[in-house]
Amino acid sequence: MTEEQDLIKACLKGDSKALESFYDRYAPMLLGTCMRYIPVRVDAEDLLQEALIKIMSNLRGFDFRGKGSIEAWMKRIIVNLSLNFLRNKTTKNIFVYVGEESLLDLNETRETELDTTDLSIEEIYQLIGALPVGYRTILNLYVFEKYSHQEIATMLGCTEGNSKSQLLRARALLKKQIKELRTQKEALPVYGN
Amino acid sequence: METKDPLDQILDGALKGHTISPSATSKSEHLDAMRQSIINANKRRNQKRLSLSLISAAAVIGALILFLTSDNWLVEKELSPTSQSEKATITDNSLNHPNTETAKSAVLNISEEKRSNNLNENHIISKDNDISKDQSEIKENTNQSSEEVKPIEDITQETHIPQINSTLLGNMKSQSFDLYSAFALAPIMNKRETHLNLLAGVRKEDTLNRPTPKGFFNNKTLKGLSIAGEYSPEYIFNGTDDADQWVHSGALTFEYKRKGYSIRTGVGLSITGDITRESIDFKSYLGTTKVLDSVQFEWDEDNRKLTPVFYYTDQRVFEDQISNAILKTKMRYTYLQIPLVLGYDFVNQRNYSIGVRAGSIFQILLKSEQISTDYSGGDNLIINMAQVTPDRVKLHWEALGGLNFGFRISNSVRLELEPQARYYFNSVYEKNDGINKPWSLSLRTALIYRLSR
Repeated sequence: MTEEQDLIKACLKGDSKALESFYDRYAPMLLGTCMRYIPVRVDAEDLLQEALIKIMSNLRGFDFRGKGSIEAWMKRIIVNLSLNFLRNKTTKNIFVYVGEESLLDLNETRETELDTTDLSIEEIYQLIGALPVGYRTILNLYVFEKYSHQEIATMLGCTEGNSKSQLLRARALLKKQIKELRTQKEALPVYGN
Repeated sequence: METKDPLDQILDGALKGHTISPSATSKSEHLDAMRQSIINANKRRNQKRLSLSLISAAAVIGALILFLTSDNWLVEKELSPTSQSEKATITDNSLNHPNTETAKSAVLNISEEKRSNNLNENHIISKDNDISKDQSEIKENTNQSSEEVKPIEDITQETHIPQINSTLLGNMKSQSFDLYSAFALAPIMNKRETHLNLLAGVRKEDTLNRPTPKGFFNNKTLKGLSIAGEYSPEYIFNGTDDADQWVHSGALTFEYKRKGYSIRTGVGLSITGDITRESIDFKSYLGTTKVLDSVQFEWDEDNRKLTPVFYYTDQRVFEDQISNAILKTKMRYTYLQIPLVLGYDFVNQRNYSIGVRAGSIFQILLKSEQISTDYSGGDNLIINMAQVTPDRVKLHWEALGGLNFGFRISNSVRLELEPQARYYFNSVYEKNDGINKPWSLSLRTALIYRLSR
């Protein structure tokens, strides 16, 4: 029996130490995932609580399939909850089209211009968070959760083409924002040696 | 093939495995929520197990009863004229019964009348003589059958009744059905059914002739009325976490039954437990200290000076910081129950019955008593107390539905098992914010005494 399985077993018994250990191990990962979809920390933490309740309620039914399976299962739960949250919060269609013409030419940006090593993790989070909901959601699902356009279309109830076009625009807008951020940084005076 | 953009790889690489720690305040909230959901999940699991066990137990009991009463069921089936495959037999007892003798003599009298009525028709006379001859043979055969059990087919074969021409058959068919016709036509028409009809007639007559009991139990007003002592263990779902899931009820009920329909009412008592929580703000007791109360000076003659004498009083010392604790008090509640239940028995055999029941129970809180408390604050100074668990409502009512299985123990006493599901129309608590309306599963066990015989 693996360490993860032991931890699950102890959690199911209601062992407080095990629950805390479980929380310390997985909650930061879940919050990190959630905040890519919902950049407002308070909302993300509320959703995390909801996800943890759901996880604990269904933990007995979880079918352990090797190391990392529980992480994937929990990630799926938080992503689904995040999507539901966005659906409920966004009364209109989450898909938007921002400055189409100005964005499309940026798809040809060189790879060197996209280097994000000079950007902190927080800045990347901010950039993703600043994207319109539809762009952000599809970018997250495609880039980080590795869903295909077909799967995204099924999940969001849109067409595959819609998913593709939204991703294209999300990338373009993100590139534009990275470029702008870098320009701002370069413009700042450097003090000291 | 979907193209991979370099930005995707850069973003994925940058954020891969990145985590964000929740704030400390959220952590404690989240842990509490996790603990609670584990408790709830375990509770739900236990409830599910229990309900499955109850259903299984009810099914097993039902199957067992059906199995135990299967012999009677077969007898009923054999006597039924609608059954196809069985062979009816005439037993010694049925033919030796005094009423059977009456029936036999009735056959002879009727045949005499019939013969005189038919004398004018020549073509019938000869046949009629045959019939009267055959009749005496039938009589002989029935006398013989009192000594040994014979199937109907055997008896009718032995009677050697000659073929009756179609005219006679038509005439006899056109007349009202009587015992004569029954015996005469038996071999030609449906032999088995005719004999069964004859037996049914004899049995009915026997019932009518049976002496009826006198006195209280013969009172016509009590017909269909019965009294029952019952006990019902009940398991409640959707109560509060602290509430005892088990409720034990006992009742004395009266039931009136007519043509399978029934109505039941009475009075009962139900007892259940609960834990009442109270939030207590207190200051911890640290110990006792002596506080200077007064000083008195006395003149010391030897040393020629004033000597102070200090007077102290004991004073308890408490922690400045206010602490909080939850006081749990175990309570016992007694309710008066008034049920009103309607029912219909769709299977109503001599030894058992199966039916449905539906109705409501009205409950009145009679008594609430404190059993024990876990607070042992000792000398702590209580600053404030607030009740966390809401009070119980004085009146509430619930709907119930169930299956009723009745089993005969003796002529007057029956046992009834009734698995029931109940739904509470209001919560048992006064403030029921966030508390779902409870529902329950119970098994009513009742011993029923029939007041009329």
